[in-house]
Parts: sequence; structure tokens; C-alpha cells
Amino acid sequence: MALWVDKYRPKELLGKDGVDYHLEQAKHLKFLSADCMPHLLFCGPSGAGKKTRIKCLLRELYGVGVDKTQLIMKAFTTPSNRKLEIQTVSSNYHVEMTPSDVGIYDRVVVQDLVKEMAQTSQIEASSQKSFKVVVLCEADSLTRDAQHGLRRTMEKYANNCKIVLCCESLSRIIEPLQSRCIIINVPAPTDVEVEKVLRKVIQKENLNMPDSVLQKIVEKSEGNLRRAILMTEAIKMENEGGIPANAQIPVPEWEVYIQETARLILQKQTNDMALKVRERLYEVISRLIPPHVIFKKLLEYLLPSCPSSIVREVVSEAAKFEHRLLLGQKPIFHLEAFVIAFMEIYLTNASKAK
Amino acid sequence: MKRTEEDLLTTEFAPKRREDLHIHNKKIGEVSNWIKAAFAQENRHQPVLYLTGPTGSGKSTAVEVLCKHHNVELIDYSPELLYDDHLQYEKHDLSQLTNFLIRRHASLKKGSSKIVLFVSELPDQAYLDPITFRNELLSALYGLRHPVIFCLTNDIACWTLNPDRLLTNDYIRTNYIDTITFNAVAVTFLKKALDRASNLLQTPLSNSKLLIIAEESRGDLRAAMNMLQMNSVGKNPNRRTGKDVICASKANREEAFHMIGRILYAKRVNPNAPVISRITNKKRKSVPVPEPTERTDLEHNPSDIITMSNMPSDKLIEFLFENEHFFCSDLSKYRKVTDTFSACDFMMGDWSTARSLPDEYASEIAVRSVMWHNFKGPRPVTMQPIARPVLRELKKQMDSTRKEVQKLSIIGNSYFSSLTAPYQTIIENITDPLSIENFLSRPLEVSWKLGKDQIEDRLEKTNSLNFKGRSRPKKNKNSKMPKATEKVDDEEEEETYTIEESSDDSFDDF
Repeated sequence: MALWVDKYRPKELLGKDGVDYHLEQAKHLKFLSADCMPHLLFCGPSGAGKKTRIKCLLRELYGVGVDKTQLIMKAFTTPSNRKLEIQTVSSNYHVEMTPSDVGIYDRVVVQDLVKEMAQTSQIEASSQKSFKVVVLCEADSLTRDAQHGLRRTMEKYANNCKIVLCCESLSRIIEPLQSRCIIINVPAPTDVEVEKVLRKVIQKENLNMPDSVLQKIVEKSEGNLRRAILMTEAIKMENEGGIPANAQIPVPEWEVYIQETARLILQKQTNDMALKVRERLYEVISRLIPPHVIFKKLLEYLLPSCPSSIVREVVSEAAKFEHRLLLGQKPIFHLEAFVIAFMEIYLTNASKAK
Repeated sequence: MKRTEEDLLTTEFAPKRREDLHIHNKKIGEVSNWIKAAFAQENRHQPVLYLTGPTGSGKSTAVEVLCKHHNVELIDYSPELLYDDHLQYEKHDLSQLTNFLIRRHASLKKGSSKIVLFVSELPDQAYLDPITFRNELLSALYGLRHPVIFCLTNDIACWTLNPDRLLTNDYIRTNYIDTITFNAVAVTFLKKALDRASNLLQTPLSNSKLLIIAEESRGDLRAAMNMLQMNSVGKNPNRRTGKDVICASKANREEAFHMIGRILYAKRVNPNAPVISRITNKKRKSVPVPEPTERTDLEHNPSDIITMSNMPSDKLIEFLFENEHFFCSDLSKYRKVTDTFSACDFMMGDWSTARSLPDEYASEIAVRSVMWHNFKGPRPVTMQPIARPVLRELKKQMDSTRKEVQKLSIIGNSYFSSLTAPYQTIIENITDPLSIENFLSRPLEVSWKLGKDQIEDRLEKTNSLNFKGRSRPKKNKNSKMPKATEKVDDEEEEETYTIEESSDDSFDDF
């Protein structure tokens, strides 16, 4: 039983099974696929439907053959003779992977794979496309080295290998790479669009859900459709006998934990508390929650309790440390630095008020 | 050969034959040639060899083995065993050594007239008074009746205890003393030696483990053998597998802790402190010395501390980060310090900056920041244990978890751990403690510090007792669920029996 998220994923760009929003863009993509497709760069927040659109585009290009995928561990050897393995999903027409899985060796993986794909050209005449597609996920966590490597490879094999990049933030993609791709911006769906999709899912599942709960889900989804659908399914599982109007929306436990942490920070501003907060942050980090997500949530829970006079300073500090966090290696340093900075700002403000 | 467990491997498995010596061939040749030459020429005065090298480089073992090879008897200089006429211990001083050197030693073995004197330690007096030692030794060397080998370790950190200070180059040259210097043993040789010793054990260690030991021991054969022994005793069942190796730490790690202490305490020169001399020292009362009110100079130079600590930047900063909050007086100072840490990490992580700056740059900045802001900080009254950075441990666990996640058939899974996994556990009601989804979305009270196995244990317990009040999945509904959840069903059904049994059964099914 697949999750609803996967079950109700649109299969085509347009038509009955087509995507539910950004229709204009879907038409545009269809047009691109009909002609000679350029390299593409999808960007947008998580849960906006980037991957869905990429899948639809591939189906548009090659037909149902793309769905016959297999999981392959591909082995690579670095120049320093290190053996690497990376998980890939591939069909006859495309290959999909996350090169940043192998850390700093991603350049080797990217270049080798593109070369390998480009060397074997399409045999099947029916597909009528002379190129294959390489989908690189999480392109924004590619190292600079890999991005520069990709730049050359991309041009060299442009004829029989097209690259589709998928990322959350354009700012971490180097300019030369951006200019070689057509950038497809996939913004998060609006609340109305989320609601529309949810209603569709509910109707197909024959679920009886009160409007108030639906509204709450839309509110809590933060424009993330994946989250919205997961919430809907979770709420259904938790309330088997029918969903009451005052049902609690399940929220991941770590978010509640961070909320508590934020409360602790506001409660007392001392070195000891800072230590306690650090332990809690370690705990969340150890669960592989991306540090920048933790950062965002923490700020989200801290800000409402801030007096308006310090909000500006807090946000500017947060921006500074978040930037460092993304470029640095040890997230806890930056998280802690922010927590301490916040404590200090908060404390000075409180003592001034007295 | 019967093995007694008490023996140290270093003595028990000491090489007996020349082939077993895993030291550089050139050095073996040098020593061997010297021994041969020592007995080839009769007329000249007896030759003297000054053999040096770091600890555990196989100096004395090489000499022992080669002497045996050439049928030469070694006579050790052991000061404790010498008595004078009235059966009193002689003082361990120079006269003892010179007596030993000029005495005629009778051979213990019959038929062999070849004797070499072997001196592996020098009396304390020698270090106190090098000039007298040199003169006494010189006169003793003229009265020698047998060849002598001085076998001394010369990588001692303390300069006053270094034999090189006594036997200077000049002295050696003018007195025709031969010198051979051993180097620390290379990893390849260490590995060979370990292989040999390991095969003599009842249950040899795995190859990878031996390799780790060889690398950890830093050219010290003795340390390597000790580590081998530490890892081969005990009940550890998977000796041939696994990668965990108990490593003997060398003394200089302690040195690093001293350095961290120096940084954190950031002591400054105190003008009020009484001048401590030998005489006043005894009469000093425990009156607290008033702290200086102004910033005086630091007692120790930060750059020196960094060099002495012998740690790379990132490690040093991790240590400081872990311990700084005890020493920093108020929040505004602490804020500045953490800000610096964050900047340092950013600096080291950034590709272009990291390459254009020397490695110590970040630690220099961090250390100076800490020492500046720890001025007048609250000193912990009792001894403050220095906490080890937990980051490495955390990273190890995260890496292993990440690997598990990558095994799943999802590509581009940045959101998996934060979003999909928590919901998936609710939706599919995953209670299998081994599944990665459950591992990631475990209750936050179950700390990562427990380690993976213990976490899984805890999960199993909590699941079987009460899965957070969630309704149990019903069998018919989950008929199409993937394997992992079917297993859970078994577990749930047999819950009326003991938990252990049911989980065992479910494992047998696979």
C-alpha cells in the first residue's frame, strides 16, 4: 500500500491525470519536451511538486517506458583509487540520483555518469528521442567542484544527454550552470490550491472530513503539499471511527520538541540553559533533520514571543548564522551561536525595560 | 610451546631469529656488521657503539637477536644487582658504571669467548653532571676489556634526560665511538611483525584490525604488541571481525589536555604573586593571591599553546566549544566567543577561504577569542573535567543512519527524515524497532547517546507496552502492507506471550 502522496501523484503534465496547479507552466513544459529539450533546472520549495513535474516530463518524452525503473548501486572509482557506491534509479531512458550522497566525491560521480549515459545512445527508434536524461536531485548541495565539472560535461555531451537539475534554492547553484539551463521555477501551491488537491484526494478515498479540520491542515501544511497529504492520511489512521471536528493534527514530534526548546530559551537566559538547549539540539540533529530546517523552525517559534523592538536584530542574527551554517561544516556551532545571541538580545532588552 | 597468559606479548613473542626481525634491513646490516667487526680486529682498543632511536624501534631486540646469531654473549648492565663486599647495595652512580665497564667478565657459556657489554641505562648522576660523566666515561673507555654497546632512547621530550645531551657529537667523534641511529618502525614493518605475532596467538586477529593497530602505534613496536595483547585477551567473541580496536593512548594526548586547560583558564601574569624561590616555597601560606584587576599579559603565548597541543584546528575548536561555557562569565562575552567559533567553522568549511589560509589560522583566532573573553571569568572551584567533544560520536551515528536511509529506494530524500518518516510511522503504524522510519521518529526522550543497539532495545520495549496510545493495526486491513509491517503484525498478535519470544519468532520467519 503506497502512501497517498505517491498514490495520487499526477501522472501527466496535462489532461485528466494532469498536474493540479501551475497549468501555464505545464503547457510550457509540454512545449519544451516536444521540441529539442534543453537542460533544465527545477527550483522551488520542498513539497511544491518539482519531482512530480520532472516525472511527468519524462513520461511526456518517452512514454510509459520510463515507469519501468530499477534500483542499481553504481560503483565508481575516484582518482585516488577510492571505491564509491551510489544508489541510482534508472530506466532505459533516464537515470536519477543524488550525487551529494557521496559527499566531496560528487564531481567524479557526476562526470562519470554523464559520460556513461552519453556513450550509449538510444537504440529504440520508437522513442524518437536521440537523448537520454540524467536527473540530479539536491543539486544545491553539490560541491562547487562538482558544479564546475558539470559545466564542461554538460556542454560536451549536450547532444545525447540532457541534464535535469532539481534544487530548493538557486543561490547555491553557480551562475555558469544557471545560464546553461532553462530555469523552471516551481512555487509552493497557494492555500486554495492545496485545499483543492486535498478535496480531490479525500473524495477519491471516500473519506469524510469536517471542513474545519481540512482548514487546519491547509494552515499547518506551510504550502507543502507533501506535508498536507501526509497529515491527511495520518489523521485518517489516527481516527478510524470517523474524524471529529476537533481532531488534533499530528505534527512530527521533533517540531514539538523544538517548540519546547524555544520556550526554554525564552524562560531563562544563562550558560546552563544554553547547555541544556545544546543537548536538545544535538538530539534533533541526530535524527537527521536538516539543520537549516531546525534553524527555521526555531526562529519561527521564537519570534512571536519577541518584543517588536528586537525582532529586527534577531532576524538579522538568524540570517547571519544561517548563512554560515550552510557554508560551514558543524551545524551545532552556528545553532548555538544563534541561541546565545538571541538570549543576549532578549536579556538586554528585558533589563532595559525595567 | 605452552603459553602463560600473564606474560606480555612484547617479551613472549620477541623475535628469536634474524628473519623475524621486522626492522629495516639496512639497520640490521649495520648492527650486524658492527658486531662482526668488533671481533675481527684484535689489536686496537675495544670498540664502542652508541645506538639510539625512539622508543619501541627495536634497538635492544635487534642487538639481542644479532648477538645470538653471531654467537656472542651479551652482558647486561643492571645496577641493582651489584653488591659491594659488605653485601650492601651500591649507590647507582658513575663509579658503578665505570666498574662494570672495566671489569673482566667471565663467560657464562662454555667455549664462547665473545662477550659484549650492553648498557641500556645511565645513572642519574650522569644527567645531573654531564661533564664529570664524560671524563669518567672517557677514562673507563680506555680500560675496556670488551666491546660496549650503549643502547639509549633519544626521543624523550625532556631535554635534560636526553642521552644526546651527554654524548655530544663532538665527544663521539673525538673518542671513536661508532653510532647507529634507528628510526621509528614503518607501518609496513609493523604490520608484518603484528602478523607474525598474531599468528602465534590461539585466535589471530583480523587483518583490518591489525592494520589499525599498526597505524595507531605510530612506529612503536612495543606499543603495537601491547595493543595486540589488549585486543586479544578478554571475552570479545568477534575477534576476527569488527573494527573496534582498543588503542593505547600515548602520553602526549595528556599534553593536549594541559593545553586546553591553559587556553580555558587563560591565566595572566599576576604582579601580586610572590616570587617563588626554593626558600620561600616552604613558608608560603595559603593566603589567596589577589587577582590582578587589569588585563596583564598572558602567562602563555597562544601560538605556543596551539603548537604544543598538536591538534588540528577543527578538533581544538571542538574541544573549546564543548568546555567554554564553564569558564565564560556572562552571556555577552559568551556570545562573542560562540560567534567566533561559528565564524571559524565557516572559514574552514568554505572552499576558497580554507585553501588560502594556513591551517592554524582558525584555531589561532578561536584560541585568542577564548583567552580574551575568559578574563576574570568564574573559575570552577573544584577541578573541572574537560569534556570530550561529542561531535565525532554524533557524526558517526548520523553517518550510519544516513547510509540506512540511502538504502531505501528514494532518490532525493532530503525531506525524508524530517517529514516522511514521522508521518509514515503513524500512517503505517510501524512498530518494528529495526526499521529506519521508526528509528528516526523515535520519541525524543530516547537519546542518541545510548547508541544504536540500545535505542532499538528501548524502542522494542516501548512498542510492545504501549505505542503511544495509538490504535493497533488490524490484521485484515494491513494485508497488502510490505514485508516489514507484516512482521509487526506477527509481533502484535503474539503479544500475549512474552515479548522476547515473539520477536524471535518473527526473526526466524525471514
